Amino acid sequence: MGFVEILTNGTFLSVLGAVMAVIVSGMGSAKGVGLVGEAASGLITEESDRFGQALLLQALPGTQGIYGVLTAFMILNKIGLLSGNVAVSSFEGAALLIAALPVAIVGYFSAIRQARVSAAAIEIIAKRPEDLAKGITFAAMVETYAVLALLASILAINGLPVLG
Amino acid sequence: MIVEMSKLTIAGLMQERSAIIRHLMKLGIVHLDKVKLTEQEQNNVLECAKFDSAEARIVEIEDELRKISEAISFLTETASSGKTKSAKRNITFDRFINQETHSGVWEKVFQANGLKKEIEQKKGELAALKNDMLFLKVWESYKLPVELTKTAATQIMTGTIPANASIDELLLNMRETDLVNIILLNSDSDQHYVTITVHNSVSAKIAEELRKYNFSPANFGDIKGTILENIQSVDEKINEIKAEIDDLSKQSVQACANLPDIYGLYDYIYNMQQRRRVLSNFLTTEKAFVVGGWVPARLAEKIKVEIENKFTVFIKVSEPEEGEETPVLLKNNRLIYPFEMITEMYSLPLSSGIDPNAVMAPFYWLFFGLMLGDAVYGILLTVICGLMVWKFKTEKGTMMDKMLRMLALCGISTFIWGALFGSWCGDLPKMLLGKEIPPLWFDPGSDPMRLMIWSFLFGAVHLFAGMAVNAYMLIREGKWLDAIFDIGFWYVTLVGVGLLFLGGSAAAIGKNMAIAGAIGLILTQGRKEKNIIKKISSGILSLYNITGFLSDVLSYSRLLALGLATGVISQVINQLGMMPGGFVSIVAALILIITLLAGHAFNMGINTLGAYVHSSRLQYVEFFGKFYESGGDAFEPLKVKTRYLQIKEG
Repeated sequence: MGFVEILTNGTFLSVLGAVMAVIVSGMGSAKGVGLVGEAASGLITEESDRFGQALLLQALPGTQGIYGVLTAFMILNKIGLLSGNVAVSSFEGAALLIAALPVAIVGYFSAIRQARVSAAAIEIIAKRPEDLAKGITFAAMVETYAVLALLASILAINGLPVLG
Repeated sequence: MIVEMSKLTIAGLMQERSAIIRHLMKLGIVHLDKVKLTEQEQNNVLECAKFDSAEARIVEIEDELRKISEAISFLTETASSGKTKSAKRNITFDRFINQETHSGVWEKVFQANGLKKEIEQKKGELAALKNDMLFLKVWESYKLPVELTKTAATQIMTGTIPANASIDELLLNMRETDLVNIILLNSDSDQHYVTITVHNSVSAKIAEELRKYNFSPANFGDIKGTILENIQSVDEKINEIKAEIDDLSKQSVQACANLPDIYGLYDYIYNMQQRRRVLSNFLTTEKAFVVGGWVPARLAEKIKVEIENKFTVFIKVSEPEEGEETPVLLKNNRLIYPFEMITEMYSLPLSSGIDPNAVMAPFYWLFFGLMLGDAVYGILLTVICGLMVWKFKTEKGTMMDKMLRMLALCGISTFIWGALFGSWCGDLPKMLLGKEIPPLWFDPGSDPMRLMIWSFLFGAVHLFAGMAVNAYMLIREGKWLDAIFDIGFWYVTLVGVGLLFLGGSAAAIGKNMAIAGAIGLILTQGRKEKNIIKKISSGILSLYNITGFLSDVLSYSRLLALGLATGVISQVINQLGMMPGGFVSIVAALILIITLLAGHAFNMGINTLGAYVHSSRLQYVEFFGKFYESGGDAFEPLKVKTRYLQIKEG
């Protein structure tokens, strides 16, 4: 199979979409969770009993990576890769690749932005632990866009007719 | 609903103040506050009276509490090897608040802290001795006294050579002559330990030779005698200190019996601090004081009578003044009560506002269940949180109690939605048993658009409910027209637009409704403007708000997204678990079980967090945005707060 044939192969394109969803959103989440983790560690040196609260905030930017895996799974499931009978046209493959982009790209940026809000919220629980929920809510405002991107990806994947 | 408050003004004698504060603490229902004075009154009053303060004492108590905590943590650590922590000890209030009950306990705290310090010190000494021992052990085979560096005819050199020097060559060189005796005492990965006895006649030459091998003389510090003697004496010291530590540990274990008393002291001192904290509300002269306060209206007269009978005081009970904000205490039935937590996390309502919990709770419950949406997770959540409430006997009114109860209730909703969607740990029944549990309603995974429409519908109902509360508030204030103009017309417009989307015969009705509503809005929304052109232009502009409503509704698509997420991740976990083949072999079965347990625990955890966060957000941003007036101060009565004891009636 030549290089160009591979690039236009439907299975290749859809698997590419699946891995992009995982890689890009996963990178964002990893960066984000790490960022909050650093801020949280600083807090724990002073207030070790706030571990649970800090962990909650650290978990928030982790969801984008999960949405990525979720999208990947839906794509792989759609093309039948998991059950063994793969038959995807170039068009379908390309469409699935495109469908993965919302989760991948929005996931990446929203994870990092959300992490910055979460890291700032660590400051909130350092001073006023009872206001944890307010910090979480600020972070959740950012997550909205990851959720919307996930929704777009899911609907696109679900709606595509794959003959398989 | 928000509990109605009455205002108290208490005037009494300074000599009785302490007893009065204790009594108020026992009642646990009076929120103390400064008396409200106008600026003029304040200026006059402050000439002969002042507001009390106990800041310095509060800081001191902080330090005392730290000492007690230190003793408690030391003793619990010591005791934890033995028995587990017992339940909270019961004590009557009068016994608890009496200083006599706690007399002699400070000595026990000092004893515990003293033991802790001494043990730490001894452990430090022991570590130092063990270090010495390590050093000595290295030189164990050196038989001469360490201070001996020469005899009449010889020099004695003792020291080390780096491990990378070729020691064999050195030994060989040295043994060539009879005037040198070199003994390799010991070797480790860093260096060789040697002692060299050399006749005075060749000592200079040998010293030169040794330098080539990077020989460095040993530093024995200030010890004397042979190594063996030293080892013995250090050994003795080590045993001595170990015995001392043993003895101290035994004393500590015995001291653990003091824990209950020390617990009592902690709570006593903590509540003493609480009583000091309210002092700043007291306006005092040398002999008398005045303090304000708040109490639930239905209890006001009872409190007044009770305190006036016990003490020489005058208490005035009055209604809050027009427009005066009171502290806010929420009171709801058992099902609504746990959801107060969500509102409290946002901000309490103004006392003149409205308690949103009764309207909010059902929606929160519904949305939480929809987003988590798995029957098994729902059962687990209810059982786990229910058990925790039962096991920890969480105190009513605390955040923990509300949260656990709320999650337990939401578990029921999760179960219902899970059953409706046919999700039992995702598709686990199908995977394991090959038999699908059919959804009672429909499977959102295969028909997401249907759930999306429903999500928007739920959202629209939620938003309409918020607007209805707003209308209720307006009507309560007698602003009937505002309610009709601002909410009624919007209802007509929005329902009309909704019907338009539906199409068919409903569309025609929808079109007329939308137009009628819009005309109503154009005519009324500019009513606050004076100029006729401005009236109309702001009326027309107000129609733009429909986009805000639209985006609010679209925000509810997260119900679908998060609901799907739980299901799809469950499927991933199930498929991963089944990959080795399921129950074909023991290893495969083990992998399956571990994957399922860990995977579903993770999925449930992360999605419960998600459901909590996003249902909260829908309340905070979309729902509260429609009507909520927040910013009230919490009703915080002076009452006993205990960590270790349980105050019982009587």
